[in-house]
Amino acid sequence: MRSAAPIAPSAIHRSFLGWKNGLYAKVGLGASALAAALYWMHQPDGPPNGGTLLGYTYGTVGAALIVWLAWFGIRRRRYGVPMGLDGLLSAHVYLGLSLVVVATLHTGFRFHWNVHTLSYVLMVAVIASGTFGAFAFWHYPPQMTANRAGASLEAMTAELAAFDSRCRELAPMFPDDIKGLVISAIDDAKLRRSGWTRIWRGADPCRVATLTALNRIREEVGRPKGSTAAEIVVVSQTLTRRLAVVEKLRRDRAYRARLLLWRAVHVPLTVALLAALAIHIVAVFFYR
Amino acid sequence: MANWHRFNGRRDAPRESGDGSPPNDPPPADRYKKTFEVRLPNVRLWAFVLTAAVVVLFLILPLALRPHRLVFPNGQSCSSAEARPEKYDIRDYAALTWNIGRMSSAHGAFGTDCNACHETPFVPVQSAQCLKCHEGIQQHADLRHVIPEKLARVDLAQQRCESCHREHKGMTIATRDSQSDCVACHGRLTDFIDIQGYVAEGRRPRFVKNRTDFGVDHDDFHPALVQDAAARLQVHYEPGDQDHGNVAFTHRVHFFGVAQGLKELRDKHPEQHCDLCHLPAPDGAGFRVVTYEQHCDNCHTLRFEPSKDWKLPHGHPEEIASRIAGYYADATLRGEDLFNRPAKDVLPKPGEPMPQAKPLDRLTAVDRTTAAILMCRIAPSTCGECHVEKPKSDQCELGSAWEMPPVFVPDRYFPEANFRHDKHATTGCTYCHVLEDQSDPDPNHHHRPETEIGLLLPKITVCRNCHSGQASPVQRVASTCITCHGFHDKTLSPVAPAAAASACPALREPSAMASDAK
Repeated sequence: MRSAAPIAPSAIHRSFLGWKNGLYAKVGLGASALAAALYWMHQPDGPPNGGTLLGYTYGTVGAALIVWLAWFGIRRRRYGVPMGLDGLLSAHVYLGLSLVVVATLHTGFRFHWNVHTLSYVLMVAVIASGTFGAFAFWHYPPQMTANRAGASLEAMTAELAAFDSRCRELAPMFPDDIKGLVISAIDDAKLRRSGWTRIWRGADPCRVATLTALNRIREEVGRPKGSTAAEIVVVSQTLTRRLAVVEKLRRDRAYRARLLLWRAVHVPLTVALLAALAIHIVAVFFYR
Repeated sequence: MANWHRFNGRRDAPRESGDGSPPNDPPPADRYKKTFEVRLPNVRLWAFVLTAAVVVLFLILPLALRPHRLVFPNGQSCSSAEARPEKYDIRDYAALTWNIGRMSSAHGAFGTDCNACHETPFVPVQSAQCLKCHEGIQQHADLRHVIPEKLARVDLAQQRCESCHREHKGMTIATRDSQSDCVACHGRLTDFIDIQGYVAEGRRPRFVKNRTDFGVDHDDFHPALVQDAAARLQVHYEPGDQDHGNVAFTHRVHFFGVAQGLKELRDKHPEQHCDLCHLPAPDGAGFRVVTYEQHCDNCHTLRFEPSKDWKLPHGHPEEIASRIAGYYADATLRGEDLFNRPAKDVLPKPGEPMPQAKPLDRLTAVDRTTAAILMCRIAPSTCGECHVEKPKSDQCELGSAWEMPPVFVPDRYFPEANFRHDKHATTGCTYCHVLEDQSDPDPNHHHRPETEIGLLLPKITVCRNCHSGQASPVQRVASTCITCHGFHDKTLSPVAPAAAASACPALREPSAMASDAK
């Protein structure tokens, strides 16, 4: 498993969508409209298909677009993109969307159970995942920033660790049941939840343990216990603030996941698409 | 730190090693950073797995597992049915992943045997492959009249079948219905045809004209009139031509004339005028042949007057003569005094009674009477009512038997058009076949008057009421050349040279079939 560094999306966040007044949005829309108009005007012999002159044109343009769009995955890692990464990404997104129109017209709306339709389905899946990625980069960064409220990830985890050690210092002073509840609430095993248990198991164990501990502590607060009266209030406050930080970190993680994980679909499917596209072209010309 | 681990409940002591972690746990802040980090799946691994699956399933399998090689009469073998699988197996499915679309129903019999047509990889399907089965398919034009420089474009042996016929486009094999290919030659046909040679062969140069569209410049129809009924020869109409089918029938007489019997029939079936005689043929395209026995006999009975029970057989002149002669001979032999007068050359002397005829004279009289009745009564009035020709001799002698000219009423007067009556039944007969009353002639009518050629045939303007060309289909049926015209001319030689013909004895050479038909 290769862990990716957290994305700091401020560099390209949103700017790519409106790059140069949406230049590539206009180019993509114009190309799609032109393709659709040609399809509408063209009257081939027999049903429309990828084998007519216009069909070959769509296919050539579409294949070239796919290769160029896939090339972005390599190009974006290099320095010195002439138009800047924003411009390149803008073109990648909008021309990728117009590829749906060109490729669909290339099919002539003829779909069968074969490698040709497989290429089309893979292409649609790649574009759909990419569309989600573009949406995520446009939609989530502001929410992510608001959630962090200026704190960095390191600051938040350091804060969480500080709360833990504070609780761990104070816990031995309390009766065993409270001590156990506090230690249970700060158990970091309760934070490691896979995506599946998050859906399947329902309630958050960290939150449940913390609230259980707080309820027990609240009973103790009113009682005159002398020596630990001040500490029990501190532990209560610490646990409450700890839970808030945990939930903030959880939300932050969810945002980062949405900004990152679509690529786990986008990239492998792109490579598979390139293979299927090559086979599509070979198959079509093998049996001419 | 040790304290923390004691309360952790899972790990009682810090780990030494084993899973790559350092002997001492990292500080809590770093541990939490790891807890809340997002792990991307191994993108390269997934890319590799998916791509490998695609390549194996859709490239290697289809190439490695060649589908069943079916046995067909296309030059390989004639004993079919032995190697035909009942079900698809993995080899067929692997082949089908490359199939670009559904095959036509006829070629569906090839199943997944791609090589039946696609002989060489990356080389388009050659016409030779098609001609292995379709060996009888004919040329489009008579190559003798094509200018040599243009021969390559006209000779179908030098063209690809696939330029017009597309496979893998659905249940019916897609035939080019655009007329651009037709117009490419017919738009300037005079550049393609050697007109002198064409005319020198005695053919009328009607079709050697530059034409582009049915709605724009198609000529008026030239029905193929019968020129020689004996030879069944039809020749396209030129002004002044008449049909020589040798039947003196006109619709006009039967509808407006004295045909009282038909009038009664018409009154009985007011909505079925045409159906009285014209019954649809089983194929629906045309009509059954009108026969004397079924359609004329009701009114035009071949009665022989001496007795109402005597009917003469239609279509057998010798039999008619023999029956008449037999009747009179019989009467004479029975002693009936039908011919009790001398022959023409035995005249009584003045003042003497008429001499009695001798028996020999009587037989001569039978012959002569029979001949007279045949030549002067039955032939001109009874037979001649419908059959136009006159007897060879105007002498009333039995020896100069009346020779009936052969009758020919063709199935089609527009043999170049694939017209089907059943597909046009909704318009009714009289939409196209109109018999105007002579008293009310419409100078702009769309129909050729019967008096012009002797037939009730429409002009092109009738068709244009509903059909336009491909160029301007405004509220019309857009009709290209092949809407009405066939491409392969059945009267011409086959495209495939004899050498390329199949080895299959079941498929015989077209020339042999043609000679059989004759």
